[in-house]
Amino acid sequence: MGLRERFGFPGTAPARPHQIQLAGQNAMVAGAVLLAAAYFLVWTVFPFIYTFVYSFFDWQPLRSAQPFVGLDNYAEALFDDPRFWQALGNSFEFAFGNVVLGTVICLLVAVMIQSVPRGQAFFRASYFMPTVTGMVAVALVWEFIYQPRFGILNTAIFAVADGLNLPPPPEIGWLTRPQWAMPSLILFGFWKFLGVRMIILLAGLQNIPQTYYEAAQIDGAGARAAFFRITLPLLMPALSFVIVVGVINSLQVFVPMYVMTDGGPLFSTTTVVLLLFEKTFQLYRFGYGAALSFILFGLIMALTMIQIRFLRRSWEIGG
Amino acid sequence: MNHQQMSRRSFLRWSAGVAVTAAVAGCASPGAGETAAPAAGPVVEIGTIDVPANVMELSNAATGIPYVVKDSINNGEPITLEYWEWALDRYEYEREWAEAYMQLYPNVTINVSNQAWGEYWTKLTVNVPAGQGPSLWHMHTSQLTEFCDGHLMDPMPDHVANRAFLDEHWVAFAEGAMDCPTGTPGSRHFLPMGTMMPVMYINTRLWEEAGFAVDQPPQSWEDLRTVAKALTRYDDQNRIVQAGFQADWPTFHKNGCYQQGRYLFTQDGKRVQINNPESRAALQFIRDLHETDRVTDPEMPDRLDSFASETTAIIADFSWVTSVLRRNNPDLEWFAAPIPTYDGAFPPAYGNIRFAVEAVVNPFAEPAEKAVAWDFWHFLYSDDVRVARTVALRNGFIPPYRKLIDLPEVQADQVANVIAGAVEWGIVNDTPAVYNTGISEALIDPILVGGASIDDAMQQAEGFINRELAQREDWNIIERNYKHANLMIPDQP
Repeated sequence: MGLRERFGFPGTAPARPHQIQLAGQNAMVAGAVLLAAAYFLVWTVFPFIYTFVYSFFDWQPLRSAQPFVGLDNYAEALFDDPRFWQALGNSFEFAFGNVVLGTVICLLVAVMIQSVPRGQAFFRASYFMPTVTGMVAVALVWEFIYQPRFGILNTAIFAVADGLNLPPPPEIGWLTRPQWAMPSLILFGFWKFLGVRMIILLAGLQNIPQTYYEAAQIDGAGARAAFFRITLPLLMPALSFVIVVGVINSLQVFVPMYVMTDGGPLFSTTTVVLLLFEKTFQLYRFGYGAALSFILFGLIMALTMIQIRFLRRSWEIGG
Repeated sequence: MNHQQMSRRSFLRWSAGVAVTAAVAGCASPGAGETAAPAAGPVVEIGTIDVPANVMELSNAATGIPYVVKDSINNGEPITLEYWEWALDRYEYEREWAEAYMQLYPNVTINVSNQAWGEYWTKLTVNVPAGQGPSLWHMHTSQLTEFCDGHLMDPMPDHVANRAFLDEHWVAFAEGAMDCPTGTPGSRHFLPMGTMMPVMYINTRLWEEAGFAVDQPPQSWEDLRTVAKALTRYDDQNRIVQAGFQADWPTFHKNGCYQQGRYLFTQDGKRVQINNPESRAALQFIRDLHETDRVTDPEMPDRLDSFASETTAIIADFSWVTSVLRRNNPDLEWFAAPIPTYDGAFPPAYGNIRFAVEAVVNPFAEPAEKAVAWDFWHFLYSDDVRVARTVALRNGFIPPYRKLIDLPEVQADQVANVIAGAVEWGIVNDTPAVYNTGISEALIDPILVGGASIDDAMQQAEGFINRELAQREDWNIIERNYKHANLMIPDQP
């Protein structure tokens, strides 16, 4: 039994017994499907297969011969390229910070907005705004914010310390020191993706019938119990979606690293996709780049399946 | 009404058919089918391939072969060239060049299009080998090695430029020539419209406020140290708020090695030379500037932003910076000087020469398109003023055609003047991107940011870059063509 049935939600609308058949309807449907299918084949399936096949070649477009090398590209990445493992670690660090911390904070923001009696639209729009801004443009702005000596963030920290009569704090090299660079990018990523996640979670929250809370209140449940016993279980489908998509997007992240740190300092922000870009377009090793992309694809796919299995079980059983 | 039902099988067949047709149509050459059938006669009438005796008096013969306006191009049949560029300011004047050419030959259409740098090389490297892509494109010095090895630049035909003339009359042309596998041995593929070198930019106000004279810039590393310390300002927490000196440190290291007589690569071009006393001296100097003299630190803004906002008094960079400063900060007062060298003298070498390559021609273009592209290319070099003023002086280069260096406006341009004085001691070398990344991330950063010892960093960086270089067979490193090679450290590996 699914959630909707278990919680007594209205089922889907019954199928209509008599559907009206319009002239040319089949052709129209076929045409629409064909266009989508053609688009999908040309721009997704074909490049996917093409890239996969060439991941088994020493594919360098600037050379005339592209010899078949079997699994060498994969073996090189996994056993002979220390940068790959470092990049993978960086990708996971970004994904962990961005998804785990990001989702928790997004949930809090969504709950807060949901509880605001008036002006919800204003807050929704405000939090959603970063999502519609261009990634490169805002990355440049954040680079300025993070500038250690004259940037807004450190200036504000110093001003606050000064205002509180505290000793001046140490200057933080947000993007210039390896221990700070990745956390700074995680914070940027969290800000950039907050809007989408918040909207999804807010929609999930608004779908929870008020009657459950009223019933819980009558039974003497406090706000905390209501949150953990009602809100969280019923929000699990939306949360699962946010987490799964968040992990996929985070592992594929490229622009912030490319624009703000170029993978540095000391390669501390070189992610798999940035490494893939370097190998492909600096060394022109397209075959190796293709192998890296398929290793990442395999990892994302495996992680996604594990997450879906785990999360689905938790919201089916835990609910 | 009769509705014909389509079975699922038929539907799938039809879908697959349409998709394949769409794919094939999508992959077809965009120009295919549009090219007009060639009429009788050559596409471009070829005149002389000899260098006239009075060539130096001509203003339309920078390549040694005077450009002659033809009666017609492509027999008057319509033909279209695509010309790619990534820089918006160049795009403006290149469009004017195309307009001028199209006025001469109204049947020719040249579409100059501006492509973002981020995808420029991606598009070229994918399209050109596949027989597509533009007829000509603006080339960048950093990609020459790869494009040369990849057969992606058409060899320069004899009727547009004379190789011996270029070797004799163009700055560093012979030293900078690459032997690409295409064309006959010794054929050349590009002709730079500008030659750039590292230059020091000094903020005039800050310099004079510190009590220095404009005509006495630092000449040696020790001089630089002294003035940089005097120009550095700190706040009450001892943080630098005005850096005395900043540089593109990988480039500074590169020039520092050359200045001491050390090449960057081994003779075969397959490995780097980083772990040696000259490299150590350059790195020690960079570290001292940061930690002992404290004239700058990694927390300062980027050198160019910092110089523009007057929070850095002196920067050293390649001379292309000139165009940025002139365009974005016209009110900033600065003067140019040669970069300080290891001991104050230019020999054995001053620093790295890089070319502003300008246009190259697509070797896979249709023959007619290629012929017209080369004629347009020849036309670009048919006006000395265009070569000297539009490109060189505007961008902070010297015109590589030696005759033009003597022009009064070139002599009057302070950046061009600095380069002209140092170019004799310049080494042409287009270091591959993996080298630049490795020097920055595996050598300089570990020392300045990671606290690594110089010896450890040199060892690790050498291993790192060598591993990266080993991923390609050949790098076409040409630094050993240096004309004063006899002054460099002998018997280098």
